Amino acid sequence: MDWVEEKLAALKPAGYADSRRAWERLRARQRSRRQRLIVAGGAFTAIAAASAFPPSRAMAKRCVEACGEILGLRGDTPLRNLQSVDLRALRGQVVLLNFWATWCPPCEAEIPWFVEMQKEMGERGLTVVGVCMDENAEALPAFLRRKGVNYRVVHDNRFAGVQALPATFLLDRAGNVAFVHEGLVAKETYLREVNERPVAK
Amino acid sequence: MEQTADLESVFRAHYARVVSLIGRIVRDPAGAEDIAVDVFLKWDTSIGAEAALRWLLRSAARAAIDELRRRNRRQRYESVLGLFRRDPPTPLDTVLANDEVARVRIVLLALPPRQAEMLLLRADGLSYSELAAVLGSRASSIGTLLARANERFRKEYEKRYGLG
Repeated sequence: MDWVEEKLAALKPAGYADSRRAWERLRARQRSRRQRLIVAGGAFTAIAAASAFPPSRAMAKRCVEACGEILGLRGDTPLRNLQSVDLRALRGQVVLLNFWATWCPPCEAEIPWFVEMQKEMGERGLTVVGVCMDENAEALPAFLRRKGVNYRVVHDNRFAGVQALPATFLLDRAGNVAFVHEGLVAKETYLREVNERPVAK
Repeated sequence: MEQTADLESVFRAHYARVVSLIGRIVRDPAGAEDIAVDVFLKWDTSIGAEAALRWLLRSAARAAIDELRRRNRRQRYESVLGLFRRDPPTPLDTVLANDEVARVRIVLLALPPRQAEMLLLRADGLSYSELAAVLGSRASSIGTLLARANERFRKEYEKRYGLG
């Protein structure tokens, strides 16, 4: 045997492998990924609620990636209330883009605010777009009806750029990212940020 | 849930192989299991069943070498802190310092990561053609690449411990 191989032979393989336990661990981690999204949402709440932090470059970049994908987005489930949204067609509008999921309580808390904002500010040029990140859209129609959602919702769970839910982006009339929030944010913050944009002009 | 079913069959087929490869470097079973699980979590159904093992072995080798690097950094950090502690080295520390496995790992750390991964896969018993497939190199160049890695390993080993 060659000298190097002889040395490398010191690296003995692991003697045993309990694959059943490892599989359970893997499943648990898959589940906890979801929970982490919620926890991340909670952790951001404290920071974000205290002050609307300016969009960091990394977050803006992720948003651009997410938006880039959404540009070609089609609601892949032909359901009432689920429509395809082309953000390019919304240029000239202020767009509030909210990523959420039905299993995420902070997201649920925000929905009535968006409903209200859409109702009150829609005519002045605000468009709310919800992107539901659920694994499948089964529960979605009933959920939307129950919540009285009056804005557009698409179902799409491919947005790897979004790392915490809820995540909300505000696009100004030119389609640029005006702010980014991850996690639950106070309603007043949203209102202030939206009002700072020339929605009413 | 098809994706999970798919992941499950790949997991059942290859877990033992993957964890044993990682175990060559990461010797505590819980740590090796942890890293192996991570590798499978990153596995993507789009990779396809027949390319799965190649992908898994390469990722496992990379993850193992990364982990070695990480632990080494932590150890260095801890040994700097250790200057301020009074604990004398334990007999275990002394044994570890003379351990051939420890030496081989230290030498692997001195190599560029790609070479270290290649040698680890070779230690795992991959043939030239398997190695080429796993690393995505041409079969004709794998001999050269491996010879270069071997040479580098020998040099780094000799520098530290002589040709024992």
